[in-house]
Amino acid sequence: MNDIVLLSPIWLSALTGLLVMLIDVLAARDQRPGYLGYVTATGMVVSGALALFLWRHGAALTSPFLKGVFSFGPYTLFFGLIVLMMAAASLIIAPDYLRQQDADQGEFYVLAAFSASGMLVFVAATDLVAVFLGLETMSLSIYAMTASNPRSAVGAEAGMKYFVLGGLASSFLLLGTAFLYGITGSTNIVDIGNYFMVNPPLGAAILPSFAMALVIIGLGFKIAAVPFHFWTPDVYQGAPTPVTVWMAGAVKAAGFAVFGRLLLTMFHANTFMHIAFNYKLVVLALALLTMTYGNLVGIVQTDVKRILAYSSIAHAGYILLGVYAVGTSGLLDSSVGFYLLTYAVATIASFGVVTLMGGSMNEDTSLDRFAGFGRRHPLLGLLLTISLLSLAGIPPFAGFAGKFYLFKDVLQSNVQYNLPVVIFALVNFPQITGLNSGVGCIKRPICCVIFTHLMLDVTLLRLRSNGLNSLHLKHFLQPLSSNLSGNLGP
Amino acid sequence: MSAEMIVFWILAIGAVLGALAVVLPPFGRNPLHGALALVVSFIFMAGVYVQLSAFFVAVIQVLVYAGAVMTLFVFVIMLLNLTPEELAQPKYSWYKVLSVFSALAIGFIVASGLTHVLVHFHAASIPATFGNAASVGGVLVKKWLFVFEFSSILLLSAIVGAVLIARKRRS
Amino acid sequence: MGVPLSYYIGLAVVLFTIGAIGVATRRNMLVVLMSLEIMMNSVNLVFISFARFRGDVGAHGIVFVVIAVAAAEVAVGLAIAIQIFKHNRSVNVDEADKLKY
Repeated sequence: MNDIVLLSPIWLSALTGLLVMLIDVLAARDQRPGYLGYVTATGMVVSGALALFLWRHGAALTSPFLKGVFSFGPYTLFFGLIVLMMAAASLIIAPDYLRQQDADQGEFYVLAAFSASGMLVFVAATDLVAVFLGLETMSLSIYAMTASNPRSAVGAEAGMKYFVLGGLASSFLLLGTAFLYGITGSTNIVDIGNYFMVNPPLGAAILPSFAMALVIIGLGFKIAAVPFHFWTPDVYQGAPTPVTVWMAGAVKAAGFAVFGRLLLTMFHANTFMHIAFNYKLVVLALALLTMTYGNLVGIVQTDVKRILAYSSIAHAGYILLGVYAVGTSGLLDSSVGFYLLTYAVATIASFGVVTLMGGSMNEDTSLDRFAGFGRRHPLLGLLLTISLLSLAGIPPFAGFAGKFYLFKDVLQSNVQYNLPVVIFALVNFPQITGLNSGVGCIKRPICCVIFTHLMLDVTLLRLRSNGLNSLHLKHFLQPLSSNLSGNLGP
Repeated sequence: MSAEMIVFWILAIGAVLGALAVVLPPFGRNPLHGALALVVSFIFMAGVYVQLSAFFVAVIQVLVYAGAVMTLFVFVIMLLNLTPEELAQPKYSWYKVLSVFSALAIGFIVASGLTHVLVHFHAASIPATFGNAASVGGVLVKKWLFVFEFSSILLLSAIVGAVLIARKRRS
Repeated sequence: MGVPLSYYIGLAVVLFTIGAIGVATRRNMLVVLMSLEIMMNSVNLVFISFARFRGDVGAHGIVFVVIAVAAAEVAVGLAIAIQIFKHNRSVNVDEADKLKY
């Protein structure tokens, strides 16, 4: 009984899907109820509230048949809440958009609810089989949502690309799971971690390295890290924008939650340091590639959704840098969580504005259409500007605090090459991607770029000289909350 | 060579040939032939499963793939009714050649590396009930209780998704 | 038990590689789907052979889940293929190229 209560956020979001399905069927055939999106969003919010209430204390499942499948600690709670928040946000902006596209169908919301439930399983699971099942439930629904607009050829194409590459990725993850099971005799990630602690892999260690590579590849597709990113721009551009919000926000946050959990629990750095192929170096390489590629290729794009897609690739690089630097304390105590939160809020806001515009612009989101946007819609223009500046990491906004703490953590950690890596990340022009899309709204982006660089460099120097403990997270929550309230305005 | 080894080689060669017939362009030009080759490959795989004492899984493999998945494939192929002009001639690009070679290289390295690692694995002694329906069913509702229950959501979302994408709409 | 484990795993790796090559090179969406099925199936073979050699029937449960997932994937994938066909009159992956920068 206790277990059922503990699992309630998961089954409640699935139940929301069933409820929406029922309402959709019972409603009169010709008039689709317009409130289905809001019903689903309410379900997500209720699940989130329940999760906040139930998972805060990190209770464990007690039934012998469910033992070890989930861990409901603060980690799960934090990422679960981000995921549900993103889900609710994209569901709130979805109905208007879909109605404008004449693609408002009840099944869309049913799938969204199932997908959210799969994401919760994905984030909470500590068993690789449950991770895989959560991943597949999440992804299958999103494939269908991506291709759901019957009139959109690009939507179908995006759905196909996402499907093929997503299927490939999950086979890789599954093969990694199979080899880990073969090596350790268990699919529970804690058991696997303990096994490697007792029998540390030495030398070439082909089987563990191979399994680790497969897991990293499989999840790398989901978080769009660079050698595995090539689906991202096409799919983000072709999908209906609310689904893009879903993918750029919720899926990415969930992917990072699982990426961090699997790597840190199973392939613990201390046990895997002895082999040639340890995850830290792989993650570092992925991070540097990802941020450089995202920022560089983002510059030449002319479609706002594509620009935001490259921006999200670049952000994945920064988050990977945080994962690289994280020590034994785990992801939650590091700045990665905060970074993801700021990224999530800014992503909702920027894609939200694009959604509001895209619906009426016949889904043409090229940059030219946004010229003079600030004059036509001052409030939305302001919101877009703020969120893009936040994505770019310009000081008064939350994104700056996110990057600041991320770099601080990397500098503070005792990983190899921390200073060169941070300097590399700084000269990586994180701003350009964001500001490029802001060209229509802002007059003089160059000034902002120079200004930001000065700010970041000065902060970095002060950090090196003053010691790093003088700053605390709370000082930076103020801009975050003001950013949040600003974003909720319209 | 023992009898088991001979059986394994027959099954393995059958499975690999079936899979190659799906993948290689000269054979798989027509998707219908591909679907048939796929089922052949899967039936040989079911034979391998039997050799590994996974009797129930082997039966399910044949039932699900030959019975359900294959039917679905054939239905869709018939429904789309692809004419030869619509079936693409294979196109070669450096990207594809590169990916084939890297896949082959990685597969070869891994397979050759694994043979050295796996020699210390010896088959465990197993009870006579290993892999029969009762034991697998017990595992499903005991060890994998949550996964088993939650896969209903997965299947439901697949159904809803397929309906959402492929159904005819009122204009 | 005459056949050593490495033979089974070797077979699985060969099949997985064949499937991956199919996904990477074939243009027909239906054949790509079949290749994905081959990959999933080779993973099942890995699970089952390790289950046999460890004497642990638990992995058979995983195989069931994987079979269910593979079937569900086929359903959604074929629906997407039909949708693509409606728009392009073809199910070729690289003829759908409206999304380019």
